[in-house]
Amino acid sequence: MAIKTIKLYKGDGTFIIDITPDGSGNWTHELDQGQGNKNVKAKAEDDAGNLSAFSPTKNYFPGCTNVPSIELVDETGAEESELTNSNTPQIKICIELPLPTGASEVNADSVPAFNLEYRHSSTGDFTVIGDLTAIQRESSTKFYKLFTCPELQEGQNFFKAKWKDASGAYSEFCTLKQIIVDSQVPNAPTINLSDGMVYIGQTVTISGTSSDTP
Amino acid sequence: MSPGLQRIELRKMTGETPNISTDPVYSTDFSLPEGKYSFNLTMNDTGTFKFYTIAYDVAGNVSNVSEIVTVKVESESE
Repeated sequence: MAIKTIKLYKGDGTFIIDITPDGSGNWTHELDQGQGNKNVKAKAEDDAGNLSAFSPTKNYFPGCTNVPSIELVDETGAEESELTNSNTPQIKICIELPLPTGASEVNADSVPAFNLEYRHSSTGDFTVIGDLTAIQRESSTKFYKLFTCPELQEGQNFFKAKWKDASGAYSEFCTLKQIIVDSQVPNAPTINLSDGMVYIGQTVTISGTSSDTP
Repeated sequence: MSPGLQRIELRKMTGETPNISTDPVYSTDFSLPEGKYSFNLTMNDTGTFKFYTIAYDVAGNVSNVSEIVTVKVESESE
């Protein structure tokens, strides 16, 4: 006997639609249940009108509007200074996704890639780095990618990222992440004390000047 | 890029040459108006001591060492 119809239902058993499979029993349907926590299950009906049991219920979340964030891993300045003394700093692109109701974790296949672009100045064209794959799981709802930047110019650099879903769609870009590269060491300090001085007292004032590399 | 200085360290030289990995930090000055710094050294021991300074900028870069100054303490104060 052949499968005549696939019957789609919501998780609560509400009928959605009948779908006709191909000769091999394969079927596909673009289902729009709106945005938010959704679920779906199916039954198969053969030519004789026999109905299968329900498939397992699949929980999913369509219409997610979350965007990634970018962290500077190699931040060598003060916390949140966005300063690094590396021309090729490592950054971490992160995304937290909503946990579909009924699922124990967000499926790792939800985030096949992050797409990354950057530019040296606050205006101008972005250089496209492209899709970064091999995304890592951080928690049941968080994913990340560590990325070593190509050689950046001194000063401000601006990064933006978006995530790619399993259907190939891209999110909106995150807000620009500024990374300031300063790989130049300061000038050696000068000391306003002549070498070899002898003092009567034991307290000696040592002073001088120093400057950062222009 | 010149975001600015963060601190100056006064180091006491313990070997024949400066070694910023091992030479102890004698004092640190975080207040650097126009890049000027100042340390008051009170020596508790007699002898000859060598000091140098190094600068850190806010990005974490470290300068080369300054010139080395020698301080000779002839006798302890009463």
